[in-house]
Amino acid sequence: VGVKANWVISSAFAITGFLAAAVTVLYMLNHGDVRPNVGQGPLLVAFVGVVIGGLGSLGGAALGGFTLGLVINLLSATLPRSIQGHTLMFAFLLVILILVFQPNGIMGTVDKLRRKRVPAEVPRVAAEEAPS
Amino acid sequence: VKGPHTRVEGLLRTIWTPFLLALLMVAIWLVITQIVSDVFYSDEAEKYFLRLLIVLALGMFSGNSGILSFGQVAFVAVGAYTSALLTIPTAIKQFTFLSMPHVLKDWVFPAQYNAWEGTLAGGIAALVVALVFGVPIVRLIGVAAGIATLAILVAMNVFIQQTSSITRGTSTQIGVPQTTSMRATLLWVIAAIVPSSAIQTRPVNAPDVVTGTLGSSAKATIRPWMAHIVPPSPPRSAGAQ
Repeated sequence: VGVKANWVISSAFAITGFLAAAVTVLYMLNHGDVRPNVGQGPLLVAFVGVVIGGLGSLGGAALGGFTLGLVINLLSATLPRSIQGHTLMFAFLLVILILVFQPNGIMGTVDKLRRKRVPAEVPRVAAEEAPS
Repeated sequence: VKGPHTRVEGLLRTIWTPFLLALLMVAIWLVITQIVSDVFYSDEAEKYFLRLLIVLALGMFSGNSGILSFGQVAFVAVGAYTSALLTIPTAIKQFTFLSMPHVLKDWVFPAQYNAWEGTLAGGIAALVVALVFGVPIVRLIGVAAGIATLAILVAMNVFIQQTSSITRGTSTQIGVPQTTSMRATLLWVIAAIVPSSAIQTRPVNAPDVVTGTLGSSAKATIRPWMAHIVPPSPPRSAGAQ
């Protein structure tokens, strides 16, 4: 009741900014150079990864990032050399397919499966309390 | 009580906005050509009309569906590359597209379309591509739809950059005839304003973009062209008429 929503959200935003900057330090130390457009690749992957994983869950974000990274690397390893440059195109077309079949992200489907185990009529909270 | 009076009022309300907007565009055109008559400003006005066309297209889709489309520029690219390939003079194409596949070569090289045909060909190509992507995209709502359109944009960008045999990759397409005139762009803008205002819905409760529920907004809208059948809603403000 006494929590100030504006303050909480803006400080959460500040913390994510800090974390992003911390990641960037590692990323740049790995790369060795900084250009104004160096963030374009990570930007797209972050955007898309968080959505195909499932918005609103930490596991989903991580899973989405891993999925996208895996897809891009697998494609660039297996595609023939002549269409090697098109790796990102195939990866993002695959993203569209994933979104069409999993509109709530991968975690959304996992949640749905988890909920199916609980009898449909019984509210979720009641079902969780029952064993204790 | 539906009388002829309300029917006329509804019709007026339907055509008022596109009429006023078209008049404004014509006024801009008149000012630039008649009063200013400077090449710099007429070039800028051409660009203005062209960008307005893109915005109108985006507004027609995003404004009515509630899907924030980041991918619209991909279809602009399809239209641009198609019309460029079909309008560039054959003599220039023969030495700029050396590595084009033979199937395409036989079809693209002899083509030397004029401005009209080039515009229509580009539009039809973009329409076909947009239809292919549109079928799966309409099943999505909210953030997923937005990200899917972003994926279209990235995929198209990578395709254009990497398929250099057809698009010349990151190099420039040389020799596209510069046939765009300010009057032509103005006519296209007016031609786009009319349908975009005809399909403009008036969402009573706009779709929630974040959670992606369309809700009852699709039912609870009155399209202006339905105004003859459905009694018009009361005017929002006194100064609207």
